[in-house]
Amino acid sequence: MERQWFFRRIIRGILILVLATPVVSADERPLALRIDELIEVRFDGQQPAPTADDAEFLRRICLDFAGRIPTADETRRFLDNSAADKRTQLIDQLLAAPTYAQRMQELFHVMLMERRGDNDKWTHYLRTAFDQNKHWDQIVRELLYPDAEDESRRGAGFFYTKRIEANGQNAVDYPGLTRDVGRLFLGADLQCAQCHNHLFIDDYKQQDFQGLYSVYLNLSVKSGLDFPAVTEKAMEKKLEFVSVFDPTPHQTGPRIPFAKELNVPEQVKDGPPVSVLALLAKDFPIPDNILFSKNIANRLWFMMMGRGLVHPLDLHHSGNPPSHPELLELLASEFAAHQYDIKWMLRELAITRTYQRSSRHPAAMADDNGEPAAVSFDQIPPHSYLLFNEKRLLAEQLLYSTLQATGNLDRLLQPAAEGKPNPELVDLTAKYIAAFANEPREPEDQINPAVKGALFTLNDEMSLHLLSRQQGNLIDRLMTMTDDQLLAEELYLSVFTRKPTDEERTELVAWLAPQVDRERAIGMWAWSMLTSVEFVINH
Amino acid sequence: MMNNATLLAQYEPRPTGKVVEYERQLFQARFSPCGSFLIASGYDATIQRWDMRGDEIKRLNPCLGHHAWVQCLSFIPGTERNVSADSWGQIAVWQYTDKTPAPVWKNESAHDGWIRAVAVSPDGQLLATGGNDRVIRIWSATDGTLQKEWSHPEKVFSLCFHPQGASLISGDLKGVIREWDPAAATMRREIDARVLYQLDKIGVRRSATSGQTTRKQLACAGQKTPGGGFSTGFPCVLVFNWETGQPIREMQMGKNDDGFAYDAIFHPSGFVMATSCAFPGKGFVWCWTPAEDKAFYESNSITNGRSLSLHPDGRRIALLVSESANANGRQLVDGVYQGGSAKIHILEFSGQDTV
Amino acid sequence: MQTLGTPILASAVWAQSSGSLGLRSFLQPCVADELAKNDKQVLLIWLDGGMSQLESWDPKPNTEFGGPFRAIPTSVPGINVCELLQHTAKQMHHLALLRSVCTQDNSHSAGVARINRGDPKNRGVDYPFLGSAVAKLLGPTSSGMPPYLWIKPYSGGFKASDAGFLGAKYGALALGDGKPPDNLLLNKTISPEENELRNELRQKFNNRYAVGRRKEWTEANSYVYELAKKLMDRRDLFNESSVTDKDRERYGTHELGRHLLLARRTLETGVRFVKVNSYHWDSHGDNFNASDSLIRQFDQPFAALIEDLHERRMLDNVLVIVMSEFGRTPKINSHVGRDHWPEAWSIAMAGAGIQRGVVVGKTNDQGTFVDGQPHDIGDLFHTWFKALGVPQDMMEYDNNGQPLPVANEECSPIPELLA
Repeated sequence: MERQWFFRRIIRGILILVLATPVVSADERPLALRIDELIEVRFDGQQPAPTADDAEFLRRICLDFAGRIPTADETRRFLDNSAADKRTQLIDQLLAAPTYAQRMQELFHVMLMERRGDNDKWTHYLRTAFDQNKHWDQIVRELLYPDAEDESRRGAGFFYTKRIEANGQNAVDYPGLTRDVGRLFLGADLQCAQCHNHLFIDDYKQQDFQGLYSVYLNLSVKSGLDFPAVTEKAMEKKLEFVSVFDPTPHQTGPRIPFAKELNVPEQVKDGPPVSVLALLAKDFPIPDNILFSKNIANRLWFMMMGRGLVHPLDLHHSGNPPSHPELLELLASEFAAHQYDIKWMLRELAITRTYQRSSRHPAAMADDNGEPAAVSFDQIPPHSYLLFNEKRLLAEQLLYSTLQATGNLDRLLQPAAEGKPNPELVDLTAKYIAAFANEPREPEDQINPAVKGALFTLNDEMSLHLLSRQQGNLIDRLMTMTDDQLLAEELYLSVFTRKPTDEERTELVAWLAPQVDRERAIGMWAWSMLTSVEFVINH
Repeated sequence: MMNNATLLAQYEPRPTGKVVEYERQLFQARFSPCGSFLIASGYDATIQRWDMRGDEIKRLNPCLGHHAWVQCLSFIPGTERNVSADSWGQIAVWQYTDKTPAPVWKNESAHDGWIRAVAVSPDGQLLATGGNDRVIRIWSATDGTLQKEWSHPEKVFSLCFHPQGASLISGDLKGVIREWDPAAATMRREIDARVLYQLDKIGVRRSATSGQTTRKQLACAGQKTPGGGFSTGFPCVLVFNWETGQPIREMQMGKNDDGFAYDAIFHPSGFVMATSCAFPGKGFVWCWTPAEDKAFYESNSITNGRSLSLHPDGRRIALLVSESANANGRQLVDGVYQGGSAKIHILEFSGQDTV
Repeated sequence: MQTLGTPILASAVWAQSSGSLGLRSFLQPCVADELAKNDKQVLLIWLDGGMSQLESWDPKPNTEFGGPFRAIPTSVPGINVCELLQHTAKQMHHLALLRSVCTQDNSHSAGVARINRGDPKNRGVDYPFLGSAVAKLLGPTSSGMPPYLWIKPYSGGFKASDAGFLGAKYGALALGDGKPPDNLLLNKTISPEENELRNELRQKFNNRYAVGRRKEWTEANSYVYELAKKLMDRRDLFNESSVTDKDRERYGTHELGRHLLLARRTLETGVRFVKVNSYHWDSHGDNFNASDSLIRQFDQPFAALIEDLHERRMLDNVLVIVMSEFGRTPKINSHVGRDHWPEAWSIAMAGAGIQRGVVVGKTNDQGTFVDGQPHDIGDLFHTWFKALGVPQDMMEYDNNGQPLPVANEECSPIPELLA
């Protein structure tokens, strides 16, 4: 058995090499260059936005790789740095910094759990995985088979346990788990294929749903452990199902959607238990499973570029083709060829021209005489990548950036007694998630302006308190400054990660001049910056 | 008590090949106490009769005069009469041996609306009725005069008399079973079968408790733990110790969206035979003795079961099934929109013993 | 507590830059001025999963598919409804029933959206749901309240998806379980003047940011702060203590009862479009017990609501619609349920521009198919837009240059339904 498996792996390895060789030999240029070519070849003569300036780039890359904006001093240093390769240097520094693992843990937590809840062991698992730069295929292998005996997988079980935990009198949501595995790891939402072949998407068949479903029907939460874990019941027989449209009975054994049934060996009496999860995990995250590669390539692309090549992210099928099919093929195959190394992939994406383009398009501005803009935004849709697509911030990114901007981050990152997190930070995190995150089970992949977020920033006591003077915070620093010109610069560098324009500087100086209560006046100006769109998104 | 293997050898229900077909759906199909007739009540306001005496099953004239749904059908011991009740509030008593039966007596407004349950006292003197109007009424079986009435806390879904006759047992929408003294119209106790009622935010869940007792046990049929989009759950029969009111066995079948166990009867040897629907596909028939943790027989080879009736010979069973598949939208056969129909399968136990 | 007062208000920078945002721009492309004197509102009651027409508006008692229930007379001689609508029957003289609805989709996954969008022709865009369409066409009322509120069980928040190509700001503000959003009270350390000022500043920064950039984010940000302000101003809406015991009793304390009462109150504050959702109507199993419970839960507060709107003289201006994604099959399946049935079902409506006390269209004696002219949801969208007074030249959206008919151009208003 073991040997057979090993042999199959070798065969598969050879096949990949054979298939992949011509591609590699035909074009050995860096991936980033080839990405830009494939994007720009579709510009169709249209002028793209210029390259983002240093400040725009700095803010963007810090939010993406560190999960927060930089400090005013960090911004100054970067703007003053005259090295030609300072952007690449910064990218490498950020990928090597501890903030990278925290940011990735938050990003993947939201993607994988969709705000269902959290768990310390799960957080630790994800954090460690990104600290060690665990590759995506390995992470997925561990999520699909969170072997409780394997200490390196502790916590990974939360992906399953949270989805199949008891919920009052409701039945365990095995269909929901099946659907999520399809959506999150293959980009295919099989939900409507549960009861019949999908009515509108010919590619999704009922057996694709039922085959994966049959694996999960035997899963339950393993209790009595201090980490989330599952246990499998032996699969006694194939799953029978019928379509609601056609009563002919069908049956299926465990199956990876769009692939063959798994070959489940007979349980030997007194032998080690057969784990279908282990079989699933072995054959799922592999280059042969092309949707597996395409899905994650598309999701990483979305995370960096603000729009999926396939969009929505979980509707990969022939009726919803990618905007740049050849690019998605390239990303998927290159990612597989680099053993699903996420850090490598993100670096390649970050150094592209596509990523470093400005989100502002000069041709889309009305000119000073009020003449309408030369280009309307309808002509440069998000999937054109003619300008950088502004991105939503996770509640966590917004929180850390707000704390950074208001000079409260260092204080709140100090652990409380016994190494516990600062209780104020814990409370604020919960409040930010309540105010800015989506409802549980809704992916956070598009603009969703929320009144609750506005009401929170307007009226919540804790949030407003960040703008009252405390030792060393932004308001405190500004209050010690006597030169309002310098004050303006410090404020704009701290909040907007850029220097103020002359107009902005003049405006602020004029506003402050007659103020009796400078602290309140500065706080109000800062509040308005922090709640304005320039701060609350990644642009 | 026999174990499962012995029980299966003796009591595996097998098709006899005899099937009664009816062009509309039916609620109940029961053997008459004399064993000569098979009588069924329907969705079409009729009561159908078949003569079971010859080799060939003969369809007889129906009993007419009800409205809408005739969900309730019971026989009156010591007579050749049966009682029926409909969803518009009428009860009627029939001489089922007549060529073309007319009501011996009827009451068109016995209840306000849907009558869900009728029970007959073991001595054949009293009828008990109940339904959506949350009232239980006791009638003289002979002439239909009202003997007693009292209000019931919830919609009454099932009624039966204890075999010794001194107690009336009701099961309601919310899964509460109550033992009543029918003479005094007072409640003796409650038995908790609330697991058959799933309270969610909208406050609607159904249970179809139908009581059948031996002297020592009470069974009620329904469903538990509904699945997601469909308002149906696991078919389930609960068996209680009659003395203590404590549950002895939960007999659950199928999947969480299969739907109701519609009927459960005690075989004199002590096991419970039950039937249910399933979604989609075919419902179950199962035989399960409360002493064992698994059914000794289960099958979903027929289709969605609605009622079970044991012939007085103790060997034959009438299994009523509904033939009405789920189907969204327009489905025409030869240009005609089709409703559901019914079949009554005559089954026979495998062993030779009779009761 | 010291407020900033004069120095800020006097600031020269402010004088030039405030204003020109929010509501006024929101109102620009709509016909609000024409309608202001006759401000139409809409209440849509959405019974998700599909209500059975046979157990409600179109009973066929004692027939093959008629089910167990009786039909009862109503306040309009000759019109009968199912006995489960005992309270609504007394309000029939205010209602119009369309019994000849015949739509195209029998699945929830697609049917919900198709009905909510009026089943327009496919032009490669996601059409808005009715609420977003009305928010776009009519804008907020002169009250300035959010134009589209959605009262629903479970979670609240801002539901942008209803808006389709119109863009997030025409989405629905959802009150989860009818509860108000958090943080509705102005923080005690901020004076109303300061609040005004800080929001003007924020808007100024937004306008500056927006130059040369896509408009969605700026518009969304500005919009949610506008809505937040309106809700803060009208937080009395959520004050439960202002609900009378009598109303509580008449509407019922169950979910749909509470939500329909809140709907009446939000209409009274001037919300343009209120949607109330009720779930779990998809009775594939046990339809008759489900209907007995659910339709009665609808009946009681619905009748109270119609009575109240009439008594408050609001019924002339408020269009009330009761619908689902489809009706339910005449055939009763083996689970004693009814499945999905778009072929022949009923939609009830009342109020603004709608004929009173009529039944339009009919089904055959068995209730299986429409007898005579069938009507699709597109016909109803035309009917409702006409009832709301949307002028003919407004019956087209401009989707960044792409002209899109507001309602399916192959359909037309149903004259018998219009007053």
